[in-house]
Amino acid sequence: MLRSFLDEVASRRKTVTVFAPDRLDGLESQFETRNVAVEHADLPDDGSGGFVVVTEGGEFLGSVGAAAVRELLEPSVSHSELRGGGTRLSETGPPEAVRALLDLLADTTFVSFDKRQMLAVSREIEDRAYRRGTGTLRTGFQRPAAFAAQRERYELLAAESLLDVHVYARPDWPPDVPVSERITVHTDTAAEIGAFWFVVFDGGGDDYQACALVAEEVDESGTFRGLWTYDPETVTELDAYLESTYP
Amino acid sequence: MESRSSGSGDEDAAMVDAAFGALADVERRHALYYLRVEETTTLGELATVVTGWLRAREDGASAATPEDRRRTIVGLHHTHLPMLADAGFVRYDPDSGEVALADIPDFLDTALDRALAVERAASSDSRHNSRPRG
Repeated sequence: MLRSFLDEVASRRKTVTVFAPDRLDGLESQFETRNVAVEHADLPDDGSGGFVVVTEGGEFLGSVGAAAVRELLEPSVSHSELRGGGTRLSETGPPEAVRALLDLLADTTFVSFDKRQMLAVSREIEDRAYRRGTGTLRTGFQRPAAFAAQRERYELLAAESLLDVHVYARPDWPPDVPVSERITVHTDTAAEIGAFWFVVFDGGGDDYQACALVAEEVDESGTFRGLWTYDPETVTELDAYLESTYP
Repeated sequence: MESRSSGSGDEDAAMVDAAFGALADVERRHALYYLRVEETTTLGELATVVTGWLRAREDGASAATPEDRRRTIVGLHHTHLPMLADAGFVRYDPDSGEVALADIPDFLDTALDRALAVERAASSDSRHNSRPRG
């Protein structure tokens, strides 16, 4: 079940410990949607600004200068810029230190998004697939209308690349608009199809490009909770799950 | 225990040697900076702090890895902590991994304060001169 992937991610809670001479306010709220606990420890002031340590289950994963955290707290840097990953950060992205911290935090984060954020991340994954030009893209639409709104975009994705594009939906398919042969449509009555919004790109042979968003709407509130991952293993598992469960 | 600062001339000279020895190494120095705040910690925690702190000083942009920390553990366990323990500055139990501040003579305490002030000034200088060097 897709939910088991969410549970797995939620259980891998990481801790960020800030060793710094001064307290960095606002950190907790910055990390609360990322399933990351924040702790503070005092450090004598040696002018370096201190450092942050990332641990999981008490195990040291790595550390970076606290400058990375101060950057994260700068309101001028948006979440989507930070999480762009890969090569797109070179022009407008944050400094290396922030990337180093985000790399440590994760390849996978637990997210709580509104619809606008869900669309932005979905688009980021679709763009990544399009730029890669090959590989498998699997997208689950909660409602036929949602696909209808994206149909042209998906037709273009399939037509202008070698991507293998799969679309998942409840059986009240097809939407009013026709779908070309280039897109494989899977319909299923399983409750999770329709309950989950997901976009999974296997990277097309490049692990660094693999990414996925899998989220469930909370009580039709417009808030989605789920996972956003750049971890190739998790993406591979999601891809295999969808391929075998909904042939 | 007799106060070190009021010991015999030989003892004072030995203490000064040990204090300079403690200060001479950047890992030992940072271990002492941290222990003066925390007083009691573990080998693992101390290694985490020394690794993260020194990396942040050298290069704010790249991450210290578990392998970096493992090397710090080896150095602390085999070299630095036994040396500081021999001098009587810390207590180190290699079995439990517990590390505690012991008896820091005034001379060393003052020297650590001054060293920290120098490192602080050096950091701020290198920030103004574009890029810190390692």
